[in-house]
Amino acid sequence: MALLNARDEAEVRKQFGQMRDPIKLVVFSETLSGAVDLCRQNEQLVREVAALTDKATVEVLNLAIDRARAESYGVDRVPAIVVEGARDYGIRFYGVPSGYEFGNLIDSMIVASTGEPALSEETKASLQALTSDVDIKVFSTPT
Amino acid sequence: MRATAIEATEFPDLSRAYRVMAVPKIVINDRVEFEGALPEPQFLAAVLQAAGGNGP
Repeated sequence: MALLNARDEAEVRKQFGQMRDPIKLVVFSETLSGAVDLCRQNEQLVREVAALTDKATVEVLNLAIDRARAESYGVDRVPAIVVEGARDYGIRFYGVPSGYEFGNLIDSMIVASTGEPALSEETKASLQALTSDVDIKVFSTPT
Repeated sequence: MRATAIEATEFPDLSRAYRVMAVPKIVINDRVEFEGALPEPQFLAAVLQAAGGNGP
């Protein structure tokens, strides 16, 4: 059963008109834990979304087996999605991005593809001047 | 820079560790936290504060 309905697909396709360069969606799953159903759901959602653009490729990795790749992305939980553009911009999703987060996934894919965040020049300059690491966590729920 | 969106219901241990009561909850560098969306200038200020303030 598809996760996205026809209206979702049409809306996402329209937004993906803004895509420019290819992006990669690296999905981390597990097969031997309580999260296996969520991982399956996450993989299905990512594949359905990626199918709506020719600019996105999907790679599914296993957290336990592909340890080195997980460490290089700083991923230690599943399900996880890394949204990667020309380079790794540090965009991660933990948990199936349904509800509100779904819009964020689509926006992330577009911004990774264009490399252009919708920020003011002042904000961009301030961020570019940062010399220390910044880790932002945003907690939300599906409803 | 790392930006991670976390489904609070799927990761109850993380939600507990970060005392997530209302969403959205934003935590920056485990130092600065706030609930609800902030306008861009205030969000930037929170990021700069969490990163250790302006300048070296």
